[in-house]
Amino acid sequence: MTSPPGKTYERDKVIKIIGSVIDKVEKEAHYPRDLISQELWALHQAIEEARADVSSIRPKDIGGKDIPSATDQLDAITDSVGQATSGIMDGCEKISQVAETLDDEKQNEILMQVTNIYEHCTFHDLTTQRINKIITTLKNIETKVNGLMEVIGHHHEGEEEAPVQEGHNGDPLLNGPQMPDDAMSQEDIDRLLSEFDD
Amino acid sequence: MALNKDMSILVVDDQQSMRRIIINLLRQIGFTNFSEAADGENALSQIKTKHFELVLSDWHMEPMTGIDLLRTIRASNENYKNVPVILITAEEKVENILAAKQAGVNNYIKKPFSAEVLKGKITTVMGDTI
Repeated sequence: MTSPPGKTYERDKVIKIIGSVIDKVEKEAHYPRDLISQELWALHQAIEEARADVSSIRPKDIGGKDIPSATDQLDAITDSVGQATSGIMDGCEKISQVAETLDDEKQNEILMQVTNIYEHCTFHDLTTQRINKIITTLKNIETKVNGLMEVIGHHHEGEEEAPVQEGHNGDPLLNGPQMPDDAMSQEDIDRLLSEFDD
Repeated sequence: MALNKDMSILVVDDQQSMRRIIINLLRQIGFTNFSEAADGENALSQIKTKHFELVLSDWHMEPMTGIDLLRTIRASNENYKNVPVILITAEEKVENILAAKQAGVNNYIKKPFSAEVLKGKITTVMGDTI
């Protein structure tokens, strides 16, 4: 975990205080209780600061929103790559049929290029496999983040929603292509724009 | 050695687009007789009922992987026990290739591949078996 700028990593501080308390309890049987109490209080503070730091990185967003959103986007990539590949192959198959009506020289030249396209279409399979590996990794990270939150006793209750971000000059942030269920169709856009017409 | 362009070939891959690519490449090479299966189990049931002269299989499939299919074929006592099998896969680690060899693969094609490589491997394998 990376420490926030300007702060030391709290884990070292916690370990140091625990070590100090144990040392005093073990070696100095009559060490004043109020001094031990002070050190335990410092320990409590350090743990609370660590929890605040964890909250500031919005773990709820990581596990509940960011990673699921990223995996959905990756699924959408594999779908659209699959559709594009299928469309390219439809075209190739039609071109091959047309090529059969041409003379041998032209037919061979066209079929050679079509073969070249087929060979390159294998990118679809490799892309899908690589994306599936990334999705698996993201899901592992999600599980580990959630596990870490459990260990440190972090609860999402009361965690505020992330503020809506703005883009350049206060314009809406550019979000790129949306998931099919969330996306507006060209008809939706035309309809929306037409509402501004006289 | 001239290849028999009418030989029956089974193409096994869980990606429909990949099966289509391989079949189109086989067609461009000149082969005419193909069947296809979307996983190892389906391939095995086809192999049990129809005589194939060559199997081209992906590795990464569910529920039965390409190497499981290969092991099942080689472990059988049926007439398809020695059908030539070429794995076409993105798995390229040494341990994968060794495992495939140990399982009895006849050849191994790494994705992405060209029609020329496909033709060369089929020629090598069928040459070996003729």
